[in-house]
This record gives sequence, C-alpha cells and structure tokens, in this order.
Amino acid sequence: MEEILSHLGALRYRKAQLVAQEAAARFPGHAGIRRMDRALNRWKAATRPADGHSRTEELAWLRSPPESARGKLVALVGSELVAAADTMAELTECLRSKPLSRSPLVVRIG
Amino acid sequence: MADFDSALLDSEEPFATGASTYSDTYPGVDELHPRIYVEFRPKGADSDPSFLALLDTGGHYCILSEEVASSVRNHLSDCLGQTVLRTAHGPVRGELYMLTIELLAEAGEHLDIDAVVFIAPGWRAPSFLGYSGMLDRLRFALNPQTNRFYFARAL
Repeated sequence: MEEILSHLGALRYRKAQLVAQEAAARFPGHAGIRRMDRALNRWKAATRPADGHSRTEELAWLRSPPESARGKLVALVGSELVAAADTMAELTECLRSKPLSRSPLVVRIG
Repeated sequence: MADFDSALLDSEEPFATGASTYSDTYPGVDELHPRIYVEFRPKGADSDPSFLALLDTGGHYCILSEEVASSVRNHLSDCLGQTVLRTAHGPVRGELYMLTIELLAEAGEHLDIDAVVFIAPGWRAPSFLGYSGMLDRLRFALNPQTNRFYFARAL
C-alpha cells in the first residue's frame, strides 16, 4: 500500500496502477489493496437517460451575479436563486425545507 | 449545435453518449483566458446538488472543493490512503477516495463514472476534474464555438 500511495503522491499514476494490479494478484485477501485495485483498475461506469433539462438559465444568471452574492455559496434552479449561504452545511439546511422542481446547481461566487 | 449533437450522439456508433453546455468563465471572477467549467454531481451528496468543476487535462487528479467535499463527507467509501500531492500551489496533504461522479447531460444520457478523487482540508479553489482516474476514463470532445461538451465512457 505504501508503495502505491507513494506513486500516486508523486504523480506516477500508471506505475501505481501496475503495482496495485500485481499486489491484488499476490495478496487477494488484503482489503485495502483490493479497494485500491478496484479504484485504479476495475472502475465502473453506467448511463441513464437525461431528463431534457438544460442549465442555460443558471449559466446566464452566473455570468453576471449580483454584488450581494460575492463570496457566497448560491443554489440556483433556472434563473431563480433558491438559497444562499456561507457554508455548504448552511446551504444544505436551507435546501432541505424547499420543494424544488429539480436539483439545484450550487456555485461559490468568486 | 444540433448538427454536431446529431453527428456525435445519434450515429450508428456514436462518439458520445451525452452532451452538456459548459461555462467558459468562473462566476464572479475576471479570468484572463476562457476555461472549461462543466456540471457534475457527486453521488450521495446531501440535497442532491450539482456543481461546476474545471475540466483540466493538465491536472493530475480530481480535487474536490471544500463545499463538494463537505456535501459528500457522510457518503464516502473507505479512504484509499493519505498522500501528499504536488500541485501548482505547492505540496498539499490530503486523502484519496473513490467516488462516483455523474456527468450531467442535456442531450443523450447522464454518465456515472467511478473516479479517484483527492480531498484536502482547506482546499479553497474550485473542484478540478483531472486526468488520471477521471478524464482518462472518458472519451470527450469540445465545441468552443457553442460551449458544448460531449462525453462517453472510454471503451
């Protein structure tokens, strides 16, 4: 594990993949190595149909956010600002109480 | 735009399975050069939000912003390990996880992909979708004329 992590930290990703693969074959009962091998070499992907919504309105809003939003985390649905907060925990709390037509786009305004 | 959507999404062996619109600026920041911010959703996040991330082929790994990390903290798999990552801001200590990231499509299909992500306490920059463990698992194309992002899983 230490060798794999050392390669990852030093940005030698392909080497880390190779060592993880070899280690998983040598130590099949080692949970950490198995997890690492899955993350690096045996990842999965899946698709599901899109719902046809676009983020055109949200991206338009974000092109010129109001000055009051500077530094805030904002949650947008369409062109509507549904919540704004300083932290993700506060924003999540605000969003819990709001019935939304779709999931919000959350962005920290620079 | 529709013509490219058709060419890339609807052919017999399509290049992409999904397409979305990206932002070429970060909200509230005067950037010198356009960049590519795509929408993604980390699986399991509280209140199911989506976020913007910088698509960065020169970045080594995905790095989650403080707010994205906070939203998924209760749903992360076991930590893969701790490491020190060399970044443009100097060495950063953090933890590696596997996290399913959903690329959201306006046309075609959303794509869930297992990604290796790096979480560093206090990382104040936006999220990055880096190359290893994320972008190298995709086939993707960009149309800068229309800010369109096309994607599919790599075969």
